Amino acid sequence: MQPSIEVGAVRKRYRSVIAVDGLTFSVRPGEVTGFVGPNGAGKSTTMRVIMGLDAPDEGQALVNGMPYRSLRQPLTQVGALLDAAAVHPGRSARDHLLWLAHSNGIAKRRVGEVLEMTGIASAARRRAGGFSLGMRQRLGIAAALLGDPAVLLLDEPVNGLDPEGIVWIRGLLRSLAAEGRVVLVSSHLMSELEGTADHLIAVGRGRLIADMKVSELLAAASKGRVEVRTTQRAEAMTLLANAGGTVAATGEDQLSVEGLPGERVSAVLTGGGVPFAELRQHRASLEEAYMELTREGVEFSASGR
Amino acid sequence: MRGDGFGATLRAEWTKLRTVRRWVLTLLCSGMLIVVIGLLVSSSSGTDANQYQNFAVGPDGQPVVDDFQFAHQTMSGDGTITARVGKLEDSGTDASAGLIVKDGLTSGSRYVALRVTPKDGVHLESDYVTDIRGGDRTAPVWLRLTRQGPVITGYASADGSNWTKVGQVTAARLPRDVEVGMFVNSAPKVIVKRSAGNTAVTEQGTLSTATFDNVRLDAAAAGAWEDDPVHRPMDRPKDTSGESGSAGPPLPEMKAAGVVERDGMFTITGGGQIKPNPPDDDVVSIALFGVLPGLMALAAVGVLFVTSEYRKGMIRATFAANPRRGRTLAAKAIVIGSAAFVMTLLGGGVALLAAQPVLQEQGFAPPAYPEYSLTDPPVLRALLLTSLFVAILTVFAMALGTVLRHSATAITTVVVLIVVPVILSSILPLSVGRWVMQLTPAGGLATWRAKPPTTTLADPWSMIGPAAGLTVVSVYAAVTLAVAWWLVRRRDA
Repeated sequence: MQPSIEVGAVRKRYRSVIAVDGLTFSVRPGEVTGFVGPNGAGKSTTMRVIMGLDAPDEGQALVNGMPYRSLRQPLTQVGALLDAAAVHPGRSARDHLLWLAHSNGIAKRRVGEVLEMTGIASAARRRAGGFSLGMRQRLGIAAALLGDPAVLLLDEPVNGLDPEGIVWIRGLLRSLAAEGRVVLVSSHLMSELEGTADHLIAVGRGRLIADMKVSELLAAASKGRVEVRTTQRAEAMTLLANAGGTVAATGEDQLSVEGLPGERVSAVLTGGGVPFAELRQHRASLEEAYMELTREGVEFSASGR
Repeated sequence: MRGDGFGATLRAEWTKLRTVRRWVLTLLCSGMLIVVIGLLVSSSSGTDANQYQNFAVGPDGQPVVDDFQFAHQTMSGDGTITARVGKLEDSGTDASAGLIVKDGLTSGSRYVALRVTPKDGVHLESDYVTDIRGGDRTAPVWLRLTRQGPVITGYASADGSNWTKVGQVTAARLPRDVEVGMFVNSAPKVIVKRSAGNTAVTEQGTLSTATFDNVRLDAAAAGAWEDDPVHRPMDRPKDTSGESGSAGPPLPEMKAAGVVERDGMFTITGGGQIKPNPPDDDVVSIALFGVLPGLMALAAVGVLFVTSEYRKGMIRATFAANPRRGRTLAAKAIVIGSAAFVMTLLGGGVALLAAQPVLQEQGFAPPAYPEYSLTDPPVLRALLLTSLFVAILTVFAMALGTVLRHSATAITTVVVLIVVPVILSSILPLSVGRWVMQLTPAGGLATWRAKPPTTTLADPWSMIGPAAGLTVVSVYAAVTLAVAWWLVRRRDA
């Protein structure tokens, strides 16, 4: 059976706050799935529900086709990094992994392996209380990898990592996915997932906003916009608007044109005698695409825009 | 199923406990606290029980009480004495009438006695140690005591012809010539007054009267019956009232102790008791006093063992690793309970061994306080039950931590539940104080006494028995564990 995560119509409220409001999605193996949304969108709650830690008020979450609470030796099926601070400060990294290993009958040698894999082997005997946030993240990831699980849930794994660490975790996520695992990575910063995630699940206010391939999302966000540089901005804008395009000035000598293909923009400007340079198809950044998506889903959006 | 069973959960929880250095240090400190405080308390305790003895010294050097009115004659070798106890007055305390074979008239010597009581049936007893209960009969009753070689057998009968055997004892160390006869006694009344932590104990002698008829002695030579009290020798002039263990003079209206014979009917009036008479103070509980501070440290580790996980959110890692949360709770209880048991057992054992010479220096010496060893059943029982009590209390602390999820609140609650009842019940009137001990975990402190419960001491833990104390702390632990179990399964982690 293929590893999977399936979230079905999950609703969860904490007193008066609805954290997750009828969320449904599934996560496929073999790709990195980004789980994005602003702070308070319900990402962590959803992950806790998947992990059987919080009971949903409605709906259910299945891992490998089963509710988490009925999994046997769950660490060998699901690895999770939920909170990097969740380590007793008086316990060494090695001992933290050791009790986890014992609890699921995982061989002791695995502890050494994941310590090597996450690059904290040299600090293994130090008390976790003295760890930097980045080292704690690595320890949390080591704990998630301990049982060599086919399903991985990582809540904000990039938090606190140094640039070298960020490069490392991107490579790790890609290779874990390439091995056919289910990899669900949450983040509130889209840029963190740029170039890493293949698939996106975006949530806002506990609801699903998008569930699509990253490539599709980018294409949709680009909307066939064309960018052009010209020294005669005003003339160019008039010409293009008359030709049926929607034109916006994006810089001192820069225009963005919607509704006209690149060749037509080129022809119109050439015909009007307006010099231009750098005519190119606009490629939206993931950040931009995501902002478009979540505009209405942001719980605490800045006013004045 | 390797790695999925309860064993794996246990192993994980044990790993958690032993890998936090502060917890391990606290566990070791609790053991040391038990020893150090035990020695400190032992060296600051004292007694004059041996200078001012209020006991007779028994055949094995132990403190006993051996007082009764005795109609007796000497019997040499084998023989049988039979008598019917016609009436036995209930003096309100423990009264008895019966037949006795004794090594002379000295208080504290060896004996075998067959006695009947107003309410407690028939007993065959010997040398302050053996007690065989034989049926519920009371006066009028026929009694028979037979000596044949080293074996002495007691019989009882309703009619003097159909006899039932009460029991037999081997009294190999009784001499060939013994005093045989009829005896009557009645235990003194103990009056305990308590006000604001001061306990005043007074004893008042009582007398009981019994009649014996159909008296028959089948022995080598039967002579005349003599009347003597058996009584602990005292410095003051010989007491004729038959009072025993009493500090005050006899009450004026009291009848006199003694034997009156008329037409083969003996009317005997006497006071006293025949039984072990150790002082109520218990050296074992003094030596184990360090358990009181020790258990506070252990209970604190018990609470932190679970609240630290809630504080740091580590409980999520725990429940993700083992979603069967009840099992995790059970594993935590077993691990922390076992650790507390072992630490108390080790600390308590060392404290008992180390305190003995210190206590002897302070007057807790033979004969009033016989030397103890860890293998004496009452001492071993006290040590094991105290360890069990501390283990259960620590489990209670752990469960309370799970329910409250807050270290300071849980630790304070446990400490208050131990300390406040101890203070209250040593101030409050006896009956209330006993109830306080029976209703709070502090009652478990009763386990550290090797001697039976008594009301004559100010120590609140002496008022109830170890079984009652263990029961109350177990109920607290069980109820709290059940609530924790229910909450842990129901609550979001």
